[in-house]
Amino acid sequence: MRSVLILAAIGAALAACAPIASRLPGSPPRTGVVVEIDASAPAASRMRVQIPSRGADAPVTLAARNDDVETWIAVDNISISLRRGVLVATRGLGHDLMGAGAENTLAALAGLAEGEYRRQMRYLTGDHRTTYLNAGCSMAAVATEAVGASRVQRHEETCVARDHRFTNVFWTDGTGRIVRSRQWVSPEVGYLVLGMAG
Amino acid sequence: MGGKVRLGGGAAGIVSAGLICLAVASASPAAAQSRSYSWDYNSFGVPGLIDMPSALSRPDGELGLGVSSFADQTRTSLTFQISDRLSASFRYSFLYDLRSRPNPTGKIFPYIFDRSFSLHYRFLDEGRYRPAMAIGINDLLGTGIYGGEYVVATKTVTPQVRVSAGIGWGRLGTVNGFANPLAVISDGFRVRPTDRGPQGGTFEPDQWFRGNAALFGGIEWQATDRLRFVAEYSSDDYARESPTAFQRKSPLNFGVSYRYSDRTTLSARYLYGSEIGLQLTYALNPKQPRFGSGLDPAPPPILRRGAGAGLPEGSNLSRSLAAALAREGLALEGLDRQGQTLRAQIRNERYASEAQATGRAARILARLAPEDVGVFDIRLAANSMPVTSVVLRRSDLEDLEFHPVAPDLSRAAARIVDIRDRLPVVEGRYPVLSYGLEPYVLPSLFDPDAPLRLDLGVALYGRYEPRPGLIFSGRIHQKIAGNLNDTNRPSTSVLPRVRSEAYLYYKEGSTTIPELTAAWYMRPGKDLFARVTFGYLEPMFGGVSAELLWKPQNSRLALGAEVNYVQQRDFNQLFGFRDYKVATGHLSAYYDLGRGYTAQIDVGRYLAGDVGATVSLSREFNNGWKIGAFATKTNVSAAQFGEGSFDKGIRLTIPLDWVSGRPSRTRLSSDIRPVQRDGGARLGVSGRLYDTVREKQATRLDATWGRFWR
Repeated sequence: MRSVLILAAIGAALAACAPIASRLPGSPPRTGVVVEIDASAPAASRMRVQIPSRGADAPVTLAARNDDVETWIAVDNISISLRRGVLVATRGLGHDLMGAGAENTLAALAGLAEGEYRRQMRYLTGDHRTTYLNAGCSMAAVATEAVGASRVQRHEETCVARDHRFTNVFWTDGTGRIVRSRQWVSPEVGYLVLGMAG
Repeated sequence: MGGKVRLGGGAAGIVSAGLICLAVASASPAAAQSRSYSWDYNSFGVPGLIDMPSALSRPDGELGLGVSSFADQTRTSLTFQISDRLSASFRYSFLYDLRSRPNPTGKIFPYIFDRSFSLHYRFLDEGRYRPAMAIGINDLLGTGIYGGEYVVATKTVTPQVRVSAGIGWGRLGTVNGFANPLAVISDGFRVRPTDRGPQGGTFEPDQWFRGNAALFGGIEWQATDRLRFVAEYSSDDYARESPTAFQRKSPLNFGVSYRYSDRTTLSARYLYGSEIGLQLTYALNPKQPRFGSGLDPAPPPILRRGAGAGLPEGSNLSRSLAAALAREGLALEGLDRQGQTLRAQIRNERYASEAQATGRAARILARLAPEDVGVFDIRLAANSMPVTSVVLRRSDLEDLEFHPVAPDLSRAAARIVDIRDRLPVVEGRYPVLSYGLEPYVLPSLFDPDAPLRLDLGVALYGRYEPRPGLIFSGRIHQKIAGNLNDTNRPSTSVLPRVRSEAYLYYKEGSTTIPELTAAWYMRPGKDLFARVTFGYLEPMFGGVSAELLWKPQNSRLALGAEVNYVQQRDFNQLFGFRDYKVATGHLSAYYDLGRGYTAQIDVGRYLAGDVGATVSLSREFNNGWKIGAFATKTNVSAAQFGEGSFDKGIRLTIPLDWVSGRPSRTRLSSDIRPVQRDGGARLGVSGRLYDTVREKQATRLDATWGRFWR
C-alpha cells in the first residue's frame, strides 16, 4: 500500500506538471527498454526520464554543469546527474544514488578497457549513515540498432553487487556519445530510462 | 490508579497526525523473513510462540506494538529490541473475573488493569547443532499477576521449522510442576514468596526463579512467506483465571499467523482447549523509514568559479544569500568577510540533520559568493547562540560534488570547532516574528476508568526575537472536543500535589495558556551554554528557570546545572497562581556510551520538595528516534509516594520526517508513565540546552556527514 501511495503521489505530482505530450497513453509500467525521443525539444537542454518501477515519466531540464557532470532537474525537484551520460547521482527519489564512479564505465564504453571492472555506488541508510555498494561489472557491445534515420551502438553493462544483479544499457552514436540509456539507481528504485534529445 | 502522559506543548499537536501516518504507511510488499530472527511476538509481546517465549530475538532496534485478546483478557504490549540480544516489553492488560490468588479461596475481581514490564535476553546464539538460548523475566516491576521466569532453547530444524523447549518458574511453572532444580544451589529456591509490596511497582528479586518449575515447548512451521503455524504446550495453568474467566481444559494451544505486510501480522489461536484468541502485531524499525533518505527536494547544484558561480555586478551579497538560503529553509543571521574567508551564521529551520543544513548552506555559498572567496566558515546557531563552526574549502565543494566517496573526503578536509562569538548581524534580520496555528492533541493514558482519554484543539503559537538570543514565545490552546475533563479521581497524595491534580487543570477552562515566556540564550565561555527563562514555564508552574551547560565538542561527557524558583499555576492555566512555591533544581551528567546508547543522571530537588536522583538510559538513532527509560528515587517512601512506589516511565521520541518523508525538524515526544504521582516530578521547561546543542556538534555531524551531500 505504501508503494502504491508513493507511486500515486509521484504519479500525481508528475502528471500535474508534465506536458501532456510526454505522458505515455494509459502508461502501464513498461517492462522492456523503450525510450521515445522527444524530437520537439530544443537541442541538448531537455531530456526525458522514466522510472518504470513507479510508472513515472517526466521531462527534465539542464540545471548545472560541474566539469563533465550535468545535473538535470524535473519540475518536482528530483534531480539526476550524469557524467558524460553515465549516472553518478540522483536526489529526491527517496532511495537515492548519492554518488557513483563513472570512469571505468566510460573507459569500457570507449573500448579503452577490457574485462571486469569495479563500480562504486554510494547510498544513505535510514539512519543517516553512508553505505556503499561495490559492483563488479563487465561491458559488452551487443548490436547496432536503428533510431530514426541514424544507427546507434547498444552496449550492455552487467553488474553484480552482493544480492543485486543489474544490467545497464547504453546506446552510443557514431561519436561515442551516449544518446540514451537504462541505468540502475538502487534496489528500491530500480532503473531509470534516459532519452537524450537531439 | 491513574496514569498520565505529559507532552511538551509544541509536540502534542502532531501526535495524532503522526500515528495516522504510521498506520497508513503500514502495509508494504513482504520481504523474506530472515532465518536468524524470531518469527513473531507472543501474546505477552515477547519474541515467541503463542503464550510461551522462544529463544530468538527480533531485529536490533525493532519496536513492536501488540494487542492480544482471549477469554476476557486483553494485553497491549510495546516491545523494544534494545540491542541484538536484549529486548524489553511494557504491557498494559485488562483482566476480567480474575482471582486475587491462584487458588479457589481468592477473592474475584470484576476487572483489573495491570501494568507489567519484562526482559528477554538471548545469551547463546544458534550453531549448527547448538540451539539458541534465552532467559527472561515476565513481570519485573508490576503487581506480579504475570510473574514468571524462563530459560528457553530454540533450534531451527529446517529453514521452515523451529522447535523450542524451556523451563519456567512462577506462572510458567504451574502445569505438571516439579521441585525447583535450582534448589541444588540453595534451598531458598524451593519456595516462591507470594507477597509483594502494597504499592506494587518495585523489583521483587526474592521471587525470581523460585518455587516449582515446569517444562514447556512448541513447534513453529513457516509454511509460506506469509503463513505460519504454531503448536505449543503451555506450562501456565491460568489458576487465577480458570474457571472464573474461562475453562482451561488442556495445556495445548494451536495458532496460525498471517503476515499481512512486513510490519503487520495477524494471528488467531485456539487456546487451552476452550477459547479463541486473536492478536495484531505492528512492528517497525527506526532504522528503516519508508522513504529511505527522504523525499527532500534536490539541493541546488554547485556552480564552479568561472562557470556560473558568483553574483552579477552590483548585487547585494547578504540580501541575495539570505533569499537563497531562505528557499532552503535556512535563515542567515550573521555575515562577515575577512580576506578569502566568508563567514555565515545559519539557523536551520527545516532539516532534522544539521549536516544536511550545512551542506545546503555550503552549496548556496559556492553558488553566490564572489570568485575571490576561497573558504567558507558556516556557523550553526541555536536560538541565535553560535554553537559550531564548519570551515570548508570552496575548491573541495567544487571538486567533490560527484565524487563516489565525497563524504569521507569532504569531512576529512573540513574543520569543525566550537565557536562562541556572533558574527555582525545581517541587516533586517532582527526583530524576527513568527506565529501560526496548529492542531494539538492532549492524551491521558491508563486512567482506570478509561485507559485512553484525549483533548483535541487548536493552538496559536508565536515567537518574537527583538535581538539575537532574546526570545519571547507563547502558546494559547483552545479546546474543541475531548473527554479529559471527565476524569474524576481526587488526588489521595500526601505530598504537595504538584502533578496529581492534573485532572483539575483539565476541568477548568477550555481556553488556556500552557506557556508564555521570555528566554535569553547566551555563550558565557568556550564550551559553555546558558539559558534564563522567565514566565509561565509549563501548564502547572510559572517562575524563573536558569540553566548552564558544559558540552565540549567531541566529548562523551556533558555537565549541566539548572535552578528554578516556581509557583504553582491556577487550574484555569491563565495568569493566576496558587499558593504553593518551591525552589527546584538539578545537577546533570550526560554521557554518550557509544553505539547510540546514552545515559543521564540528574541529582537534585524535585517539585514536591523531595530530594533524589533520576537515572535515564536511552538508545538514540541518528535520524532522531529515541527510545529510553527513566526512574527516579527520592527521599519519599514507597508508602508516601503511593501506587507504583517510585516514579518511572518510558520516553519515546519520533521524528516527523521519518513518518512523512518530508523534511521537518518536528519531533513527537512523550513520556509514558504507568502512573503519575507527585514524588520525583520535574519541571517541564522548554528550551533545555543539551539536545539543542549536541545535535549541532562535531560528534553528531561526523556520524551523519553523508547527509551533507543530500
